[in-house]
Amino acid sequence: MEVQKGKQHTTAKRMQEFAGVFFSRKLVIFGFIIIVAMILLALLVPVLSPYDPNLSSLKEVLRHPDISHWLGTDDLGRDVLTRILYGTRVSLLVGLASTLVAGVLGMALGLIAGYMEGIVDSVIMRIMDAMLAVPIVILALFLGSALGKGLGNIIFCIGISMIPRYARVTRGSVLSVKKLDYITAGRIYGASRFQIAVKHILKNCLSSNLVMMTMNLGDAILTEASLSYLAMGINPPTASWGGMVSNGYEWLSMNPCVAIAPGIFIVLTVWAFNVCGDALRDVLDPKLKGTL
Amino acid sequence: MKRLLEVKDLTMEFRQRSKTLIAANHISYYLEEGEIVAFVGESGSGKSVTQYSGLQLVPCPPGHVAGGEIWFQGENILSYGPGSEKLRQIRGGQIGVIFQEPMTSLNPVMTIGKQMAESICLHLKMSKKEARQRAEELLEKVGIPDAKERLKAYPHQLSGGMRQRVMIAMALSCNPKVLIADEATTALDVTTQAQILELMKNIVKETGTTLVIVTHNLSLVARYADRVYVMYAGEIVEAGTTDEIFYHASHPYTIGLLKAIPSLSAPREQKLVPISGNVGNLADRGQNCMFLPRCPYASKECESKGTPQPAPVGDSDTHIRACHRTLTREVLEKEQPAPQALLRTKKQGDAQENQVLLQVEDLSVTFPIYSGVFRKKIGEVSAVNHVSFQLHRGETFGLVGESGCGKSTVARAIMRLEETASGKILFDGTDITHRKEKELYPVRRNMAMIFQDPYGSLDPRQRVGDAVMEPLVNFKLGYSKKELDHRVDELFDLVGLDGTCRYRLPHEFSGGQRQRIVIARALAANPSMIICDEAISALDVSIQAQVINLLEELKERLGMAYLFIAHDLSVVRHISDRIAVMYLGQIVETGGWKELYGNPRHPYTQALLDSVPTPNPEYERNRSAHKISGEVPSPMNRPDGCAFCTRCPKASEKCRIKMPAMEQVGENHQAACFFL
Repeated sequence: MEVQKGKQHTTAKRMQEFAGVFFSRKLVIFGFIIIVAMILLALLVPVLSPYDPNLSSLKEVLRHPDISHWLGTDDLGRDVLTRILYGTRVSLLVGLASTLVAGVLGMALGLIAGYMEGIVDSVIMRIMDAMLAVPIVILALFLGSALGKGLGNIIFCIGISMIPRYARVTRGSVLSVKKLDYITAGRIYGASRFQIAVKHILKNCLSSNLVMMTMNLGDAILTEASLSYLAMGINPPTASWGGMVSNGYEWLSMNPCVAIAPGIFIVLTVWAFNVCGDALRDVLDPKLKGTL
Repeated sequence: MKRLLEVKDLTMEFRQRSKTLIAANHISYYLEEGEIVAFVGESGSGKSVTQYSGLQLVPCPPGHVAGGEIWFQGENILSYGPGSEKLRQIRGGQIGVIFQEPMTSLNPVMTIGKQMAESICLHLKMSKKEARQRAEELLEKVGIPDAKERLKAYPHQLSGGMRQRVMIAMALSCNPKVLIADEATTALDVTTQAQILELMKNIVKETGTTLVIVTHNLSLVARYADRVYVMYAGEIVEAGTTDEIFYHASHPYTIGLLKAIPSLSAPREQKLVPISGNVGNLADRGQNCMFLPRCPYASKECESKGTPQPAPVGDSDTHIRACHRTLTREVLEKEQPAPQALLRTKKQGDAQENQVLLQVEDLSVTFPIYSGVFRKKIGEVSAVNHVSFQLHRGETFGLVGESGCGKSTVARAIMRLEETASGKILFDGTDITHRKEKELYPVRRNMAMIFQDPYGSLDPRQRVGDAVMEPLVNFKLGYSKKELDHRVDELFDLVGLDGTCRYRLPHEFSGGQRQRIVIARALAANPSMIICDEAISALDVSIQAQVINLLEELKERLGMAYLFIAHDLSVVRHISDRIAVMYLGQIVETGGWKELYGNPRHPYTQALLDSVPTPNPEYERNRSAHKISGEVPSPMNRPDGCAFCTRCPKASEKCRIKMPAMEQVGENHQAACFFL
């Protein structure tokens, strides 16, 4: 009972420290608010907005921003703000899911490569190098055209194309962590290879990967936007930020809001994730806890 | 003598976000022409910062000189701007610095010659050709053979000792008035250390330069310094001539330090007296003496009188000390613990010692050398070469030697972390030389290891309690959850830590505390043997004594055997029952501590013992300068015949052809040399 209490106490204290370090920079607060707001709005948009995102209304084509349409309407008379908020769902989903796919697979491959070394390492890393040689958008385009459009495929494409980054970063840190005394100590004190790999090595490589994931989240959203812009992404009429920029681009001279507003959302989201990624790195460094 | 440099009331601060750390607090000292002055203190005592603040080499921010003056040749050099022409002339020109790490203080992409010529051209306004000429002369002066050829070498082509010689040559190149050696020999081996210090001493005496030795090693000071400043927590606590400091120490910290270091010349029956606790927080100085919480002589008045000011001791004009109490010899004797308490208790169970626990027979370990694009194996380096020894139950066996002699590889081979090329390792009667990883479980339970670096041997993200628990869980010792908790508490208690700190992460502990946690983990599964691989060399002197005493105490209580690997001969003498000396992968001499230290037979052992400094100026003065020259050859081109023949003063033709075998030279004493 005593022990349990002590544990809880420290967990609470740790959470407090965590928050303290995370928000030690003012910008992070803004970034964090933006992310939370985005998620809330994406969830609540059916309640908040009186418009259907996909229903066209030819009477209201390309209207400039006013009281009823805060960001105007597009070429089919759909409310831009409503579509942006529905697009948030797609963008965040694609961003989160594809980085998760890339992170998990990449870390697993990197861990195996770094831990086993030798021929396994060579094979895995050469494949990764080959993948890195192809630009992400091109790779995703290629995968997309092979697999077809659709949300699931987009996630898969972007996820696969980002694997090499994680594999490389993980392998690098595995190689350096592996040489430390506490790994040797683990071996001496009877830990199995699997235990060492997961408990000691992976845990210590996790922070750099987590930070990269938050930063890549922005990248993934951008890639999705590019793919949608290139008409290889989400099927219309489903709203996605990239698709909206691509579509609004044609009407830039008549109603710039149609292209610029989703663009601003992309920029804000990517920035917010990057800022939070930096803060996360500070938090995950055990030495910085409480000192900042 | 003229005062060359005088520092008055210097205060150096480091400003951090929320707090200000005072690294040097109202420091005053002076340097006279041509003398050797030592600054001694543990890590964080402010000894380096004090030296660097004059040259304005402390990064600013966060460093910041908060007050004081530094007078050098009639001018206050603190008044110069950090990047000013005048200051740059003093840096390197008038005051030279030799840094600790010879690896990082030379530019790896420039040849030695170019680096040396650079500062010579700048300060002495010589032409390139003249500068090269001067560089060559200097290299010869610091004892580097083929100086001309060496000028073309890159730093990585030189050994650590050679690089430090180059650093000295560079520092000397512009005829400086003051030479600061900041832990310049700490990273070097004992024999090399002695060579380098001897070299510096001779050069300094010859040219009339003032030498400042900044070090944590009190013993080293006894041999070389004329005057000593002892620093603690950013303050000078005592200063005086070497004799005054070593024989009439009157500040509790100095007294404590002198008692905490094991010495070759001290009686071995005595326990070390550690200084309790850790160095206080420099950001939170408070009103009182910084040493108060650790001071065994503290009295009531210390708590009310504020920070003590330096005051002369007796009628000496060199000896000063900052303490409220007057610790005369009588007071010290009265307040000292009874002599019996200081004696080490006799070990129990001598009969047990005849049982062999670990037997290493003819052990060799080799590492492959690869080369070329396809990493083809082109040869082998033998790191350990036909090593044999026995470790008895409940005994401490010391393995000493300089870096690269293969002592750690022996330990790793015993733990089966390194594959054995030939030979046998028997642990408790079972041959473990070629056991598979999985079959090692029951054996490894009984072995444990403590590593050198307390920072690297704990997982930074694992709570220390879980780390200590790990062996218990992994070896499936059948503890229930409650028993596990209980056992962890017990282990923390054994190593003198509070059980409640088990939920903390390693970075929240100091180096000494971490080493205690590592020891607790080693003890967890009740091993019968613990290998201590340089377990105390990364710790500060006062903490070192704490850990040594802890290891001894634990052995007394739990009766395990230690294989104690270290490069510090004084520590090994203090702790070990039997000792083996290794050189270039071989054991050259082995025996009981008494035989080995009292009557060393192998020339290498003799040379090693000659090089070890002792905290005893009298003894040091009467000791002849050491005779050993050269450096340990690389194991890749091991000499034929006796490994030591390239440096041995006695070496003959025979030694270069044939390897001498181990011979009995007395009861419990063997050596491998033709001239015994």
